[in-house]
Amino acid sequence: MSSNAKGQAEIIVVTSGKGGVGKTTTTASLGAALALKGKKTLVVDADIGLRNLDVILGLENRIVFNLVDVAKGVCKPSQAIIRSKKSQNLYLLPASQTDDKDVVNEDEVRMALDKFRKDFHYILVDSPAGIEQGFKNACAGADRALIVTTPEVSAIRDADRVVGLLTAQEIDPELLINRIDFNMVRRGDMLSIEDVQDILGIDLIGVIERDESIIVAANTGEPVVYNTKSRAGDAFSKIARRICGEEVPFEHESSGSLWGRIGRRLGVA
Amino acid sequence: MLARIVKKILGYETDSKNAAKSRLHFVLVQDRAGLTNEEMVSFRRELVDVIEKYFVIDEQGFDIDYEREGDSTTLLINSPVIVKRQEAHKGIAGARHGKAKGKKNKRGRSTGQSATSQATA
Repeated sequence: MSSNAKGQAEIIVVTSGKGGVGKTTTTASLGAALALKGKKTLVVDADIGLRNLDVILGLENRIVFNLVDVAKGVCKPSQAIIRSKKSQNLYLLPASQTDDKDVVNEDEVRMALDKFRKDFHYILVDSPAGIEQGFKNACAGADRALIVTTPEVSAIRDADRVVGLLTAQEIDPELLINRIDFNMVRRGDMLSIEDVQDILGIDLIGVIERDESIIVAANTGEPVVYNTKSRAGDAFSKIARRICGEEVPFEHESSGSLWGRIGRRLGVA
Repeated sequence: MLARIVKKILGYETDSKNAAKSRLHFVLVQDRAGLTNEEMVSFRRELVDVIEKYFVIDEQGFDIDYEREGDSTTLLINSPVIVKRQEAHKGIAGARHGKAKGKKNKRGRSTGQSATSQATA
């Protein structure tokens, strides 16, 4: 499914297996980047009991209803979503903080999300870590999946499990490599983009460098894509364009250093 | 190669990435196969036994791998074969037959010919 007119949103789950690799930051940043491109976007926090997407987006004090309320019919869908202060096009459907993740099942989540399809271009679902019920709920209605991993053994191992589970559900996940440090890659102390891609065997959608501006963005509750000086923000914007089906070259994401350029010139890097 | 030498001389290259790769390789083969540690060990043992009935192999280089491409998973068994001179013709023919796709064959190459067998699920 490609970028679509408002009326039938594409649902994309952002997942990883391992916790702490950047799913929530990715969901918030891509949501904001898609909104900046004029795509009406809903970001959904599916981490019931441990919600965080609200704070990353700076919307924590405006929550009234949540995903569980929509799923259980407690409120109308339109009552549960919160519009971002920064964008007309970006909305949040928060998770419930007081419920247990088993309070809803896959069918309930799928039906809840379907109620929003007609009003958005994209629905990004922030999955909880793990591969249990919360993960299954988050993937339930998904047309597409992004797998976030860092270039580390534990994150890649867990990502591999998730690739297997999604493939079994007939979703071909796309790979987002987060927090790569090209200096370490050059030194041989970090797996490269190609290494991670080789191991996981799925298509790459983008690469985010380790970048302090992401932490600053989380502190202030303003997605990093609004920071025009941030390399990470720029990289997220590129991924958003790829999500919309644009061809965006990957060239900047390989080694941009003097050594890398000399190496490429000599044909040895 | 040149780049690596230069990097080594300049002290740029350490090997922790390669450690990460080989450790991941080990756990992912098991994870993907869904086999227990003991099952993996006996699977490997039995494979080596079968191949040794017909070839002299270098067990050090023997390697089992699962590779995923799209929605299919390929089981790759890479076994370096030590070929005697007078039997070289037969051995090489056998090895070449197995090399249809093996981009990963370089692992076994240093120790002699390499027979790679694949099964795709």
